[in-house]
Amino acid sequence: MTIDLMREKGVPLDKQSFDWAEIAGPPTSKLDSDAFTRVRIILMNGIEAEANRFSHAAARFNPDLRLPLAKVRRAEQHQQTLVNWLLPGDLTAIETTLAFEQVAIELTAHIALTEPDAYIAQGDRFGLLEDFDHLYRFAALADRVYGIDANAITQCYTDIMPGRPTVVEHRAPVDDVRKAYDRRSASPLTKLNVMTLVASENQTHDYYMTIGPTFSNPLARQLYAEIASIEEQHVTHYESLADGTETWLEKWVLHEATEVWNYWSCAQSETDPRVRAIWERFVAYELGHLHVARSLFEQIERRDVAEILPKRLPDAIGFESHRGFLRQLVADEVDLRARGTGFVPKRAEGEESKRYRARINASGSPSEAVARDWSWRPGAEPAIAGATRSPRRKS
Amino acid sequence: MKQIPANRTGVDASPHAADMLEVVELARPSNLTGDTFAQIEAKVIATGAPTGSPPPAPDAARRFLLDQLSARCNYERGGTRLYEALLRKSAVMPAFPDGPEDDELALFRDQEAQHFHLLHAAIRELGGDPTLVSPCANLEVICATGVIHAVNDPRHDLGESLSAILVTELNDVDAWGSLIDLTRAAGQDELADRFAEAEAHEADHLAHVRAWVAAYRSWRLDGNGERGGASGVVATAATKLRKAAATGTRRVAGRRARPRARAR
Repeated sequence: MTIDLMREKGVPLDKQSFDWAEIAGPPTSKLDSDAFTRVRIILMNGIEAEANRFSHAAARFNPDLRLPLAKVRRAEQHQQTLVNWLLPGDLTAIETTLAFEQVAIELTAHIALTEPDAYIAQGDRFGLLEDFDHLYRFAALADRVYGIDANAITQCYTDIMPGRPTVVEHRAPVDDVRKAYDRRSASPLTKLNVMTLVASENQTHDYYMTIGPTFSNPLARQLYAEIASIEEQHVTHYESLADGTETWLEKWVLHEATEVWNYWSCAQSETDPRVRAIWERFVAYELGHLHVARSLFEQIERRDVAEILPKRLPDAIGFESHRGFLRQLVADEVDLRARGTGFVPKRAEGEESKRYRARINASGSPSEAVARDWSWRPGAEPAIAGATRSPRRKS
Repeated sequence: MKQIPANRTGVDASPHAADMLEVVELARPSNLTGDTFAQIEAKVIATGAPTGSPPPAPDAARRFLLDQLSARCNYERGGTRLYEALLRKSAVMPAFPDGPEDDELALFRDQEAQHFHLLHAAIRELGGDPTLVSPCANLEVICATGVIHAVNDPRHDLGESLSAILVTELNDVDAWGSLIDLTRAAGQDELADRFAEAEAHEADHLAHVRAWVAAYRSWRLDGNGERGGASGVVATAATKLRKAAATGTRRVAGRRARPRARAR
């Protein structure tokens, strides 16, 4: 049973209130909470971060929308805080990183499988194979620097093994910009899928840019710099899939619908009753925000919101393991490369990306170095092989 | 389908363990470029850059002595904060037999503050700036970060918090002994004599914290103090607080802790 977006008005904006104790309430448990509860928390933080990012950009270009945007943004900023503060204080930056990559993998897998547009689904699978590799590289870092097993975070749901090697993911910008959907003919699900992945990848980029310099190990610092660069490429890829001629108000309505859909999806699969109550509360809040954006859209643009919104929400996002799909994908598509807006076999890759990659990897590849000869073993690698043995001093 | 365990971090009890363990056979380790961890790290290590400059002083020996004094000065200031955090917890958390009394924790906090003032004055006497964060002080701050994090986490009970503080007290006793030796070697005998009292205090702290931690661990081994899963923690603590309020006491009956031995 999904939500009727045309009828449900949710909680009115002026009834949406918070206090500090609930905003920074009891966190979930690193040890006991299900990995997918953590996945949903991280995703929803990303969805709200995108809402905030968009809202500020919109305010800068639309003086008449500043006040309603500010009102909605205040509630959403507090929602984001409450959600993000569900992460516990003992979840370290490297552990949170592993969870971020699990979000990228399992969320993108679901979206790639349900995306109705074949070209966009191909692009989703392309990005997915890269994030899949990032989990492997960060798992090697977690083991080799901190002696921790990444699987204690990902809880056997997600394979930890190489995907498209990060070292070859570096591309020239000309090979990162994709073809956009047509706002008039694209399925509403395509629009929600694209916006969800933009949000998720953008927050991953921003997170790595924030925590990367907090690491002391030189290779860890390089690895975060390297993978943040790929996340920037992914944001470029996913945001270019959206039609650039959508109006500001149209995009605002789509943002609010994306938030409703994501919170509602979380509520459908959440196993922690306290967290599920938060998702349900915020579905109602987001319906309130959608009502504000929709009213402005109809008043100012004099268009029927049914042009851009489906009557009912699409099916819920499936927060689950996609192991079989991913193993097949690695076998079938790991050697694809991007060329212009398309995807081509490795041998057909363009010269510009090859030159760019040779330059950026000239001083060595952090993602290769960190994982050289490393494979996941339960409980982390028992003996660290020659990869970390100190080089002999020159006499 | 296996029953999902309360603590989900282990492989053995996971319903998805068999699938995950296939990775061990399926995955081929990465080795595309020949770059190694050590190689990339070594290039940076080879630059030899320190975290910062030592305190200004006319010669290297004085700079190093001031660096070490700054380290203890910062550490002792941090020590007061650890005992303050423990006192706040002690006011609301269930106690355990032979655990610390609040006046003991308050005494230790005050002694840490006294040591801070002692070092503050010593740095001034040697012509240094006690507000300067020296490289060794910075190192101590980084090392203590995990302990501060653990002690301030409301989910760690008194005994767990004391286990974290034990790490700092072990270090502190060793560091005071070393500082006294250094100060004497630098010809500052009068200063070294003044430090002896602080060293004795720290040995006393260590002996007590060791005894409290030992008492806590043996109490736990006897089946006491176990809390339910993460969702049960708040409820359990709240119930104990309510019970304590109803009986007018927070303490669990038991013998007072007997420090086993002085550490030095």
